[in-house]
Amino acid sequence: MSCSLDLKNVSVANEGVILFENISLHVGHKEKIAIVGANGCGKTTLLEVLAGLREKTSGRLELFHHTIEKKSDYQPFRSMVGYLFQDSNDQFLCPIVKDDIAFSLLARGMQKSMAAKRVAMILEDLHITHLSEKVVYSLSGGEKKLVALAGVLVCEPKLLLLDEPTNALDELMQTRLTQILLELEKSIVVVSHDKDFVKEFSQSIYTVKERSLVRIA
Amino acid sequence: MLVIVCIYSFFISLQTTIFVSFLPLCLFSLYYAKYNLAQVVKRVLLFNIFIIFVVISTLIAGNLELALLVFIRSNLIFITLTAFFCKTDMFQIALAMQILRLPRVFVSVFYLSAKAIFLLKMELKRFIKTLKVRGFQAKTSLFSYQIYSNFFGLLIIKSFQNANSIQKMLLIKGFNDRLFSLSETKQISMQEWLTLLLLCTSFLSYGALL
Repeated sequence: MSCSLDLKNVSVANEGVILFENISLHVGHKEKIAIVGANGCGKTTLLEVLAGLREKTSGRLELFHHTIEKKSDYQPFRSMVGYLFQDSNDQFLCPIVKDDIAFSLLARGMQKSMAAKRVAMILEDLHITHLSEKVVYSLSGGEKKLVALAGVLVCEPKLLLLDEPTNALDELMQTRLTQILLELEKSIVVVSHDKDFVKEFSQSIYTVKERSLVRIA
Repeated sequence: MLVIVCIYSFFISLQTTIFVSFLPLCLFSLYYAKYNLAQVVKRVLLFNIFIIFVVISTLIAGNLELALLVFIRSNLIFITLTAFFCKTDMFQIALAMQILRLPRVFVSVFYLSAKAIFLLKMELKRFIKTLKVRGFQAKTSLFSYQIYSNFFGLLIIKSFQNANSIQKMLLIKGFNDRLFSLSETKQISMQEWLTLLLLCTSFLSYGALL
């Protein structure tokens, strides 16, 4: 199935405040787009709508050519969409790194041995094999980000939604993360206010302006 | 180990007389936690703050025997439990409960509550750091009480936020009321055999004494 995500005249409100009005957005197969904007303009809220974690007020959301009316319509596509939280601490369920990464695989019914192989592979790909037995809360900010990303990538999602992936990362870690994301052949939507990262990473850039999305690059 | 300690605790909680034969298992648990004794003692002391209230109220009612029974019984159970599980994290305990076929919802609620408490504990630590950094000194003043009440307010808001993000994370991870781990179930260790032996010995000597 080719990946696509379509928003048509979608409006989004948060606690009664309208954040987006009649916005449209298309994310094609293996396309990498970025949404930038000031703090508090609703970037994360929009990403949550795309991830099916929040209901839109009106408009049409199409995911993999299927119309999503309510949150429950999202369920069959949940395993095909990866979501990286802004705060990595929100991403963890299990205390040990390898258990946390394997959780989604095991919850979807994969055999333990197979899941262990996949976890080992993803840890190696991200060069964080040394962290596999560590407690997630004892890791540094950058390490947590990579572990959280490993937990998302291990499920091999077709669409990745990343909320401020470079947040709190040093230059070296940021370069490493950008490299990893560039090598991924997936559709990716990134929300960020890190302009350098966004320029390097994405094919098209949108900004939030007066409750609408405007393409700037 | 969880099963043994549960049987032991349940058995002691039903007793109206405490025999010396119940002690070896409790003492062995302290030996088991020899490297974490300070942590165990700290927890037992904290626990006893609550127990002492019960004991005092029973003493006021004029029942010395019952007060002693409550004190010894609850301490025996708590020390054994804390000492055996001081090194075990909540995830391992929840997994063990799941292996023991306890209801899925119960296990999930147990683990998620433990996680929520852990997150609030982290919040408390952060708050204490903030107070130190900003030069706060606790005094008997309205300002200090205001700060503490603000903290409780923040804690409530934070717990709502935490619950919200945990719910989103569970949805993203495909959580279906079950916990998983890549670690293999361990074989029964020597220490566990010994604990079982001590439990059986206490039962047998208890029976003989009766």
